[in-house]
Amino acid sequence: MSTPGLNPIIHAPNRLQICALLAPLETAEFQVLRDALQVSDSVLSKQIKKLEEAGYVKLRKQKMNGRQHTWALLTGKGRKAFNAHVAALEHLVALASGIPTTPSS
Amino acid sequence: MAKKTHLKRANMDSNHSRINTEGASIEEVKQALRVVQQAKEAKQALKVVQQAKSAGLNQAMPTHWFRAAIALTTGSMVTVSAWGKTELIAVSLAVLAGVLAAQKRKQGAVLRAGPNGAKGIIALIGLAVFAMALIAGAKVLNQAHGYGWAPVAGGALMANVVYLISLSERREYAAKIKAAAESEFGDGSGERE
Repeated sequence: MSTPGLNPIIHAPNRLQICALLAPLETAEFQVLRDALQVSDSVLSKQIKKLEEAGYVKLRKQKMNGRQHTWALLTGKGRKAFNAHVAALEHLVALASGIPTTPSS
Repeated sequence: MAKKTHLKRANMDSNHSRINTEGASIEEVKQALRVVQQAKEAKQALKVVQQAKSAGLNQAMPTHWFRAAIALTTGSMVTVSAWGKTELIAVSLAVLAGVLAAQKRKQGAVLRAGPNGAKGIIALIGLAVFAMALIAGAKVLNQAHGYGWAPVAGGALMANVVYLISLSERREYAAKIKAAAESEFGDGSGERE
């Protein structure tokens, strides 16, 4: 779908899910994202990297009990882009509801 | 040059209803079908967004033990302040920091910090004023009238108030999650085939 207003970086299903999951949160652990999306570590890393390159997501590494934990957070830029993307999706739905229709029998 | 053939009474099937093509050109019908298709995809994407948001909120929802620990720590801060044992406040603060860190590690997700809007800020200021009033009242009762139980009662009252606030906050989040799940895009009602 290459509709104006839709962000091609966010629109990919996994990346859209990552942004939506992070939107109400301050931060989430890599494992939590992986389990929620039901994808492998490598797939999630790849998707997060794309969001990170765009400046939408930031990764923070933290050592807890001798183990490295990675936390992801949505940046201000990412939050703005995600909200704009959702608004564009809602606009598309509203646009279709404005098309004159006749009830199907 | 766009072909301008007017369709007389053709009805193009869409999802739930038919696009009224009466008096429309082929280009217009094609455009309408494109929009309908895009809207279907957009609806699906919005459904995914709602589900992911719900999952995020669910993951970060504070547990019962966490809410109880926060309430007890806040209550203990009021008690030690009213007793005048200010050196113990540092211990309460350290416990509070420990509880927050443990919660973060256990749940793997943290809700967005800070009070939500003006209502939240007013509630936070109100809570701080209430705590100060409790400390002052308990101090007076303890030092001037010799009621040794007053700081403990003040702390217990504070702990109860904090617990009740956290309970209502939790209910608010649960309602948000439920609303997201039952929203137009969350329940799959728009996806009937």
